[in-house]
Amino acid sequence: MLPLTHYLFLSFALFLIGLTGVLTRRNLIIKLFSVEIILNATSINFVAFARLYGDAMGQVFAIITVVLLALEVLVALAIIAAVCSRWKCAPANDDKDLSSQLDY
Amino acid sequence: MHGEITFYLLAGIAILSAAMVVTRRKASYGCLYFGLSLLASSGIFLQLYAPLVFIAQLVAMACVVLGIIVVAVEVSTLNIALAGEPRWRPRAAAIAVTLLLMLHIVSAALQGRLLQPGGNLTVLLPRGPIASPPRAGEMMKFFMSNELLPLALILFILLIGGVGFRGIFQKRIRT
Repeated sequence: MLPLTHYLFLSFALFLIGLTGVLTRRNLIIKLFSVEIILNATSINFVAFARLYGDAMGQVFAIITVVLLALEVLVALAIIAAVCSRWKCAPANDDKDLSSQLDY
Repeated sequence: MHGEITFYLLAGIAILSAAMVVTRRKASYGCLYFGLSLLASSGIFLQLYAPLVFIAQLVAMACVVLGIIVVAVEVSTLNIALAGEPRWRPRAAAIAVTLLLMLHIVSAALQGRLLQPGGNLTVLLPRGPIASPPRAGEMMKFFMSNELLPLALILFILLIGGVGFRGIFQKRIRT
């Protein structure tokens, strides 16, 4: 196994990238992806420490995180679609792309 | 040495893909890079002797990315970069995922009758620092067993929910 610092640096880099996306981007879907990247970094930490200590609890937490992420994405997509439907920000025949339509 | 090269390769792909997700302007391209980042992360999970997390992340996130494409791009009729694609493609992909999940559920249910109670549990969980990585045959057998049945059921319910959401949203758009 590689030293734990390798995995910690990787998760820290992913966390920073996700945090940058959350703080700087205005697109709702990109913000959602950034949150997912942050939680993916936490999963890497969980699994790395589980491997270090030989305990399966970290893997259990990582699996719970993955399943919760799947649920969270669908709920967030439903909210985004409802907001777009309510505020009429979804022109059906427009040449604009999704990122410009979902900017708030 | 081999493990280090694999780790650096996967970590580089994960970090670069995450950076591309944040820097791309179009959400559809960001979605694709996001899937690539998750794939690289699942490879790191496999390298950390966590095949269950690897499979869960692979299946769940593949369905999530597919759901994002189907729901946010095709269903909501937003005209984005993928709008020029024929509409049968995401539908065919959704049908393929549904059939795969149903195949997995049926296979797991059939195998569940043959297993002793608790006989196949924790086979691939870590056994300490000297554990050997699982072989591909073991992982395939594990994937088709009843260990992942709750996950497959959750994904199946999510897929049905996505289809229902599609119907409701299209009805609201028409009205």
